[in-house]
Amino acid sequence: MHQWIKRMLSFAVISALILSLIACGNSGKNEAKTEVQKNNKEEAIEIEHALGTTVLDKRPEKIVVLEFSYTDALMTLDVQPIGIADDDNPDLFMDDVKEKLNDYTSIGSRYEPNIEILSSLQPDLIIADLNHHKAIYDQLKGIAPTIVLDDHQADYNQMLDNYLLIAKAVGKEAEGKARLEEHKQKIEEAKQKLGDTDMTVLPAVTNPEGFFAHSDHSYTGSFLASIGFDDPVKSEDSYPELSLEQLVETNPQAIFLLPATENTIVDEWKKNPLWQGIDAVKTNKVFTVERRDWALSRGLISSEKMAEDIVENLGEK
Amino acid sequence: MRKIMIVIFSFLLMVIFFTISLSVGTVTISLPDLFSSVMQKDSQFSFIVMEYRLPRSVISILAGFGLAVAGVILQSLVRNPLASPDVIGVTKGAGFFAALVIFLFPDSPAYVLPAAALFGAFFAFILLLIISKRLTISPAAFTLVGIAVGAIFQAGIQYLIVKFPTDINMALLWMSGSLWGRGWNEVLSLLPWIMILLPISWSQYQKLNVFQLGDEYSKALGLDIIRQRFLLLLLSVSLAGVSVASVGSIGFIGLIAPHIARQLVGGRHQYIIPLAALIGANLMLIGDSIGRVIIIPREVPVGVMTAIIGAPYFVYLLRKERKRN
Repeated sequence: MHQWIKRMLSFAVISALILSLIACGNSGKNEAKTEVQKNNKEEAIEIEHALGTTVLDKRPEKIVVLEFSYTDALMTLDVQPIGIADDDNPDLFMDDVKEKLNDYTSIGSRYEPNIEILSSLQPDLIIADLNHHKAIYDQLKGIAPTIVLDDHQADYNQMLDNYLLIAKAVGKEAEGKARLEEHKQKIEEAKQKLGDTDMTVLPAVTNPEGFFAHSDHSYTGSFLASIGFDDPVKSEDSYPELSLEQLVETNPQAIFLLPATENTIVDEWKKNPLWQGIDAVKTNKVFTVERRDWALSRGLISSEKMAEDIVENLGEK
Repeated sequence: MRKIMIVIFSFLLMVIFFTISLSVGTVTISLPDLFSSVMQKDSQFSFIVMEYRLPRSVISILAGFGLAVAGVILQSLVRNPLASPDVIGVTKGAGFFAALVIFLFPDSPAYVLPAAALFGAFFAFILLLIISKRLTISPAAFTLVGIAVGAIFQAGIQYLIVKFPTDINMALLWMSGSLWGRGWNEVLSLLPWIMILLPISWSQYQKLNVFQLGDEYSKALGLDIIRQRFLLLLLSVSLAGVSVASVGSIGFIGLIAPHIARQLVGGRHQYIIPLAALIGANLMLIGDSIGRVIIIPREVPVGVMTAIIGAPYFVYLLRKERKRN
């Protein structure tokens, strides 16, 4: 396999050299001709990713994705995946994504996707996550050309880079770039509506066991930081667990709760007088938003939804 | 003769379970199809069988061998039916170092995880040697030291889980023992070890038979017990270490397979070792086959399944034994 990639690469380089020589030799005269050749060459897509370089002979049609954020990305590009590792629970998709999504086959858990189902779909592109799937890269490569992105640990900016790679891999690089510009504009507009963002804002996933802050090393936290909010936690970790005392100490001026279950630890905390001492509580700036939108989908659609939620709750009225 | 028959029967059983584990999964493959997918390269199921199920089943067998024989050696050595690589801290050591890699170095290449687990197993062993004053203490005290070492590593694992609560899925899957995604690379890194260590273990059966009699007798029969104990322990730890490195910490097989073997063929190690190995492999094969099909498209880790299947059978054997007495 490795040999094969090498051979393909050297072949590509040599043919590119020859083409450019021909083009130089006949400059002016045969411009139309070289254009055509160039188009043919553009059929092949070459992607550099976390575990090497993958060459696709043509634009892939049957795509399998192993993370939620990749589905988010494909939806913005009007590409339908045939298989998704969705933890066998379609309810985990955010509504905006689910609306656009056609029928697909579930590949099972994101941590241990079902390789048998995956191979039976006979995809021509697999998009995998570095952290979860590096151990099965060889098997995936045996099924179809595979690109591996560092998504699970990515912050907002890394996600944007990954987005362009995905767009390129599915043969929609131009559309991807355009969509990214549109995205940046939307975020910019949201910033305008927000006005002053000089305050500390804390997003946190909550469940009955604990309160897990998302610091600016995490995806959600880094997005808030990119808008201009301050991270009150200042932690080395991406998802530090906070006790009520610690939360009071960090004293965020606004809190976005992302409950993972119906009842969470915050229900208990609300009865505690300490809770009333937090700035966000005093000024009525504790909001509850969808965890699916804020922490699971992790793409352009979801970050635009996040911006919307923030403007709705914190924007100048 | 009866004992040899039991061993042969278990071997045949293993062949059957091996075939079953190749044919069941998301798609069930019939025997003729199975045969043609092994023989012909481009038949319909050849990818699933050759690249996915076959290495996985081979690993089941190899790891089952390794874990079971490691348990046999250990139980005879410390003359404690509750001993297993899990109890004396070896698998916990492997688990702790694997967890370190999963939590602290998530970007590391894929081969780092098994290497760290193997290192952890031997690290736990060295700790054991130091604390047990190079094995000069009594077997019971040695077992207790092992439990203490295991407790330290367990505490370390718990600490990591509490510290990184949102990333525990990967670690939990590894620690319950999973065969998911194991391919030919893992077979290649496990096979030579097992091929060398298993015959060596079997060749030690006389010493193990003597060890069972107790330290006094062993000494009287001319065994250099400290030295032999060290060598046999090293054998046991190596077997457990390489197996755990490739399938995760499945503690249960090392405890239960030797017991079942003893119940069936008595106390002679020339029979216990091969039979326990086959039982270990059988448990792994059944556990993995069932784990793969009950909640498609997801799967139940093999460590969980082997415990669910093995425990009731174990209890049944114990009850039968009590009746006979």
